[in-house]
Amino acid sequence: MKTHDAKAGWHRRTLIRLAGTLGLAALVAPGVAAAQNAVVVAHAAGINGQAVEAILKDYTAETGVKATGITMSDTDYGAKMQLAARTGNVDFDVALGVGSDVFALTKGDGIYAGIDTSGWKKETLAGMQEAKLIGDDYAVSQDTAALMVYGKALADNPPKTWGDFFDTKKYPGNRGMASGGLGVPIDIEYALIASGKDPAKLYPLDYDAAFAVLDKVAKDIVLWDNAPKGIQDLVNGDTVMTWSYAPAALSAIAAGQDIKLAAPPGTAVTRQLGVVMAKGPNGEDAGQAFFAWWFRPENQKKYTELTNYGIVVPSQEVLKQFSPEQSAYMPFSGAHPENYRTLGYDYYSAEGDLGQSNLALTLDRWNQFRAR
Amino acid sequence: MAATRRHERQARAPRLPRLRLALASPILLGLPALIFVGVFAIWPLADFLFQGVIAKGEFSFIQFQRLLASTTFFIVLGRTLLAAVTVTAICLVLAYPMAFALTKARGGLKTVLIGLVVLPYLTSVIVRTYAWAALLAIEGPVNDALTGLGLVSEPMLLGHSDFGTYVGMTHILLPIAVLTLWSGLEKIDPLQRTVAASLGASRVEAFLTVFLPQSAAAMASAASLVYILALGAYVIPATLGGTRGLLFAQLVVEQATSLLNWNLSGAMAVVMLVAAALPALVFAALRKVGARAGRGRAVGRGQALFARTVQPALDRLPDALWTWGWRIAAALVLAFLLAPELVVFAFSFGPERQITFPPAFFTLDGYASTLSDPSWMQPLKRSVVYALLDALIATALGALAAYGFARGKAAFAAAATALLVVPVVLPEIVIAISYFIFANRIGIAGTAEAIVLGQAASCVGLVVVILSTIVRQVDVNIEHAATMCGASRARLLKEIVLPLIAPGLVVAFVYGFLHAFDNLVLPLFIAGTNVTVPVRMFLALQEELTSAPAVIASLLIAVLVLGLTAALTLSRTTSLKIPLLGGKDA
Repeated sequence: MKTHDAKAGWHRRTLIRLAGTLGLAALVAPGVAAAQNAVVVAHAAGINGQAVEAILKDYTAETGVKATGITMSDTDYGAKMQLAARTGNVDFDVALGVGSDVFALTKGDGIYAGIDTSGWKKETLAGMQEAKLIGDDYAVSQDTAALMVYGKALADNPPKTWGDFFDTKKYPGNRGMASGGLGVPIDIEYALIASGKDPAKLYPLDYDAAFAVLDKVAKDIVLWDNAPKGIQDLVNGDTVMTWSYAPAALSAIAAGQDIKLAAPPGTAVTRQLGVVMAKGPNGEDAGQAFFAWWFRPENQKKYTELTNYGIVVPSQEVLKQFSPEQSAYMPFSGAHPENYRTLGYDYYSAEGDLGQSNLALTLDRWNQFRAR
Repeated sequence: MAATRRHERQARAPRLPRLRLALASPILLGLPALIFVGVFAIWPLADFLFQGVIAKGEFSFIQFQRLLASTTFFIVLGRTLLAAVTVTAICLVLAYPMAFALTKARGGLKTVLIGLVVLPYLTSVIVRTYAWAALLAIEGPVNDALTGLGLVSEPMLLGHSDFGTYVGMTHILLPIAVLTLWSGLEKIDPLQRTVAASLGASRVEAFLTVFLPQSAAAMASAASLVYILALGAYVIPATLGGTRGLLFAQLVVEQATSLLNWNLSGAMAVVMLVAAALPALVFAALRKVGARAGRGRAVGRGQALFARTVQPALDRLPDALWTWGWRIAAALVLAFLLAPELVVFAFSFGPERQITFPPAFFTLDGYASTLSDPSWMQPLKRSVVYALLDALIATALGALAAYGFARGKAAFAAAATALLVVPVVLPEIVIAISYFIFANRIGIAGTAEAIVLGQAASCVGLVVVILSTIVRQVDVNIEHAATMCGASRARLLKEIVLPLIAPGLVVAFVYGFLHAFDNLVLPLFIAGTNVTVPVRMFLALQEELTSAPAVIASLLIAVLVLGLTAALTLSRTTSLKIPLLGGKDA
């Protein structure tokens, strides 16, 4: 039986297992028997991961099922999912925060189970379906906005639009942006919006228009590898404004950092990630049961609160639980429906020129920009 | 001549029954280590690199064709080589006075200096990047000093530039350069300079013609190691680099993790290996030149030209400058190494949800909450246990191999040692990704044993390098005498060899432990639920600023310094000399 118990005695088991693995027999993939009353949930890192871990404890307390989290970083989430798909070695039952590009790459490998909604509350399912947040084998587990944040240097003249963000004459100083990964499409989409493109008609991306904007401000761009580093750059004075994922920005504000969110927040792009069911170590039922529990509005409310209102499943069942003040900076709250839009994962996952995905082509163009 | 060789062979391996000879043979004694590293590092690596010649399931060079057709690839590769060479040169220049100071220091001062040099080398790279970001910020202390002194008219963006990358990488790699250089300089007889002076050579001339040439081999070793590690730098350029500062390891990681294109990333890793190997050959040639010069052969033309032009000017400098110059330089190098550690310390006493320097206010809240938080304490305990197991495995396998290699043929020993140190000297990201794929294939990813085995594979080479030198210092005639007195091979090993190399085993164990304890990249990929402390620190800073990593880092600094001091004190009480070597993701 494969368990993930980290309590007393684990190091003794480690020794025993280690001895076993050193033998050549360990080179053969071990069979994994289904465990009773356990579920393993893969999730993202940082404040998001801490929130999930807290909710997993609630799940264990409420159901008696031992819920264990596996933390994945942005660096390795996709690669781990791909390897799980290629090797059939899936060590989780449910994965939260999976990009649809990763899902698209791996769904043909037979590691995912379909979503069984038979145990769901009718209202919850209807809300998810109405907001187009659920399909046969994939549901949206979180929306995270990419918010514009500014520091004390612009306290008297705060930026208001993405045009302001790229206007170095009106707003001199450095501006922070993501250096890689799925942050790059957000960099480029904001540049396109600043160039005057209709946010509703960004695809296919006009790279020339986007990089014309970026080239103009290249010397004023400061890149961050993860959102908290972008906040630290803002606090340190290396930038006068940055865009940042909501959990990092809202947590920094809650911690008393001298930074502010630019308004209106409804112009932010959101990064939408999904939850998938895997044919994991504890059997399909364990994942399905957690899945139904996870999407209950009261659990989602707690999840959002624990992320300082940075992460939300944008179903009306969930959103209606928040006050107008709490909803003010949620682009997905319904307060700014005209501006609510998510990254076009279908576009980035689709094959573009030269047999590469549009995401690969986008990153390639970004690397060209950085190599100039 | 043949008789002499035969005699030497007999001296190395006294007449023993066949079984005993087999026990002592380098192949058998080194086999466990070679198999272990082969299975858990070399095989996964070869498999990953093989992806570079696979496209859609078939053998193909299309990935290399793609690379060759990409202007970005060449620009980034060129920039990476330039960065690696620049950082190597800076490290050598800064390391030399510090290593020289270490050779001059005696007693407790030497232990303290070594501890201070090693201290940052043992601190998590992710925490140090935040410290450097604070120091180099536009409103940070460095810019304040530069503008205050009137050296620049307005603050510069130092923390997001090539300068930031070079500073950060130098800080990570300088301790390795110092220690490698020091282990070489220690072997130079200080009396030689006295003799040169008595023959009329000036202080400068004695240094340039006697001391410096003999240190060329150590400089080449240090340069090789720093260059290779700089080539694979990922964390530092990603955090402290500028918009135009994209380096090669970032491209490899992007292909492997964001785009999941392992074929192209495998091809890129091959390029990285080639780039790592070519200059190593150059440095090897330089080592030979240095060795020849050390034996009194021809000194290079460049050195002669230097002696005619620059040396007279140096000779005219006052003696006090020479006496105090290297001391001051060494002190500045130490200040450079320790400055970020002080910032990390300050972070740890700041507000819990901020990482600012200076802190907005001082508090112990960070310590209280971190030390009572199981999500920090469990990884800490886990890291200790894993590192202990790694050190145990590495020391056991490494000691057997080191003994076998020391008593075996030199060519085999060199080749086998080179194979064992591959996981130490290759960019960690390449080793991590390849092991990650391997661990998933055999179904151990996410387990404790996967982390222990993967980390141990990179520790074995380190232990072998440390112990090989120590075993060679053990007089083989003692073993001959014991054999002639009727001691069996097992008894010989147990009662003669083991006690003689025991201090070395302790030191090797400590270095194995530290090397494994601070490993970030490999467990980041395969940890699963078994998160270790460096991974916990990395993940904690993914979405929120928190002082917890600084708290843990500050505690680790204290613990690691204590451990290192104990090990060095032990080695200092014997006549054994311990070479130091290690790897670090920059």
